Amino acid sequence: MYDWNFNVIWDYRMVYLKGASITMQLSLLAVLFSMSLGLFVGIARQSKRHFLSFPASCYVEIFRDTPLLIQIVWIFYCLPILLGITLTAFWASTVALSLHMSAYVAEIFRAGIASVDKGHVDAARILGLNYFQIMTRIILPQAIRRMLPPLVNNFADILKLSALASVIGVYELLHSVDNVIMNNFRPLEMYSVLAMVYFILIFPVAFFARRAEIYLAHRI
Amino acid sequence: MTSIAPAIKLQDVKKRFGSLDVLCGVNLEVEPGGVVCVIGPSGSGKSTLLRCVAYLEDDFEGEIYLEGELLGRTLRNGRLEQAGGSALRKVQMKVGMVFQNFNLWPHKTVIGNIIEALILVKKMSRKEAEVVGDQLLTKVGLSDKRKEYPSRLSGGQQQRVAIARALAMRPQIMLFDEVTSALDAELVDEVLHVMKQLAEEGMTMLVVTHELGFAARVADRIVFMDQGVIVEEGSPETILKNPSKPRTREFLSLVSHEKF
Repeated sequence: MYDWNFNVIWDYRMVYLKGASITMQLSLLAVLFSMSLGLFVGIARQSKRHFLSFPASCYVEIFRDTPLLIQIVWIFYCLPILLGITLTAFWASTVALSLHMSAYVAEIFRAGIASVDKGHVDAARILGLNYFQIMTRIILPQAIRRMLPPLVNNFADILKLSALASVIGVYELLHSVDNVIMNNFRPLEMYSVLAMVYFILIFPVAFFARRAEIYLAHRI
Repeated sequence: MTSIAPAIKLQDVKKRFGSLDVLCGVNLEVEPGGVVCVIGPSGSGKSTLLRCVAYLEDDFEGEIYLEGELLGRTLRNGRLEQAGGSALRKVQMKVGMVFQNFNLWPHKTVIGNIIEALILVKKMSRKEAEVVGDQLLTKVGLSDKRKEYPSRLSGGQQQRVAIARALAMRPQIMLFDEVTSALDAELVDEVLHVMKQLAEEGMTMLVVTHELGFAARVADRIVFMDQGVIVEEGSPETILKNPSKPRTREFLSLVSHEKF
């Protein structure tokens, strides 16, 4: 029978705290970038103009259909050789995570925009509103209500996927804990607590997503 | 003798969706202050005709004149082509349209729906726009609902708000696209009442409808359409009681249960 010893954990509390802080920084930056980029890609993908919709579709397919792990490694190791752009491990993972998730965000935006009744757009056009006014005043306010739950879920996914940054040596939660295990040989305790820390970070997000879904379901 | 230009004149309007000809050369005029009702079986092109007048359909052929002025077309390399965005928006502002499914914006209140275009397009202040909005809500009998969201209103009330929203832009002509078709029977009259009132005030109206009773009472002229062409047109008396074309008679015998 394995002899559990959780006392060692307390000594490494700062490791968890610092790791969680890096995980949060990485995830929040990825949320920010992927939301902004995803909005543009999503709108471009909806466009009737081929020169906008085609590159946007290619972008979404490329980043959704290749593993994030490969994207992280590729950006970290291949970009310096091919383009002479060297990013720190933190920024390489942030960029990879942002590019990857923005493909999903773009799909959420596209679906959200497509879900708005075309009749609402006709009504706005006949009243003389221009494209920008229709998008910002009529379509997005309605679409965002429908997009909020999947977007919040996306945030939870980003938190989980950020663990992949450990492969290129970013001291986020997983990598920090791995590092400690090599010294204290307590993988069971360390990984169990690690899972709990992720849970503490992600549960409120998932909980908020569910609440938002229920709240908005009554309003739309 | 000088003749007054028709409020709206459609000349050889054609529209196809893929290989399907929906409108096959429609000519139609509405006199200023006139009310023309378009009737016909579903799929006959009535709604598409209205959508072309409103320039909600792209790439249709033919010309549309509003008070003698050719709309939505620019001369490019000696050929008439569809005008671009801002020119089309100017056209659309002169035309008011009410839809079968109301198309009120659900995230805005009743007054918010009415004043949106006044503020964004006509550049009115919110206060000025609300004065206009409140007058129109009183006109359609809904001043007590100004702060409600559309989902809290009945279908008939929503449609009256949609009419008020269209009127707010002071259009030269109003298009009604089967505006009572989505309503429960007991709510139809309140909407028809508002439309009748508008007609009496001299609004030029082009109305696609299945309400033959309304057409009989309010229309100056009834147009019967089938398969993308106007089969027959004339006074309500002629069309509803003594249609000359067999196709019109066949349609009327199928739909009319009331005496005119």
